[in-house]
Amino acid sequence: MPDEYFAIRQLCERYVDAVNRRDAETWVATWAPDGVFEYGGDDVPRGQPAMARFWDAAMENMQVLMSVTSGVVESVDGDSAKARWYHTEDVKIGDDQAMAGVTLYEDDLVRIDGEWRFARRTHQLLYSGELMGTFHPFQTR
Amino acid sequence: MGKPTVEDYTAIRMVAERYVDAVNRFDAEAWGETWAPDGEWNVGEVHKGREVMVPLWTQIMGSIPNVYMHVYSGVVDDVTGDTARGRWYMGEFLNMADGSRSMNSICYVDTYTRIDGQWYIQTREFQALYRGPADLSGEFAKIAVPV
Repeated sequence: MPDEYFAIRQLCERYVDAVNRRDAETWVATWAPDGVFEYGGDDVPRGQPAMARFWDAAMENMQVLMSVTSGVVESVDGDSAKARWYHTEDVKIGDDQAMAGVTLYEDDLVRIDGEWRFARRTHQLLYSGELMGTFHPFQTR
Repeated sequence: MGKPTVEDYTAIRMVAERYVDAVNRFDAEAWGETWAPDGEWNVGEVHKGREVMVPLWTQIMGSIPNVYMHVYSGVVDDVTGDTARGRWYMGEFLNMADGSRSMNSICYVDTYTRIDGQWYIQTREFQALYRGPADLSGEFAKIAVPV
């Protein structure tokens, strides 16, 4: 299933690139219309409008730099798939709270009109620690 | 303008991975071969052409005792004929000649050109996104995925 692996990998890489570039529209579009994000809090967003509101609230006071490190597409069954992706996340909240994290996303994916989307992502923190360097603004053309 | 095929994405990803491999091995020839002959390397100022970039890179690398780069993730935005746009997130463990050490997260904002079926970096803009120490002094959490 190299084609599915790379298509799903591209979806994950678009997701983190959208976070890094603060591109809400691209981020929301990585989700299925009824996608669910189990991010660790109680008010789990369900569906793209809820995702957009979640994004606005989460990003208001946060700088974050995410990267996919590696991942596994566990299984593909027709138009659904299961995968796990490991990320690094460098986060700065407000002016003085900064931390480095290693996180895991456990994913259910669905293929809609030939495009893979996240049906459910469950976010899990594997490592968190201090980050003492300097963040630089990210400019895109 | 079109979406990249899996083949385009994979071929361009391989260029990104060959690039960091060339850096890690201090291999000037392999590094030069990731670039289009008239490529442009933007590191604050723009250096154009392999014949300019490779000697400059060799000089810079001569002043760096150790560097280890890795590709995290990237995006190929679109492919138009034999040109493409994308960007790659990379990590960098750096040991400078003055003894300073850092763990950096960088992004290369790129365009690519396909020449004789092979993708090359046409333009590459360096952006430092994080620079600093990573002492890993925090708490680890145990993975909670059923095996």
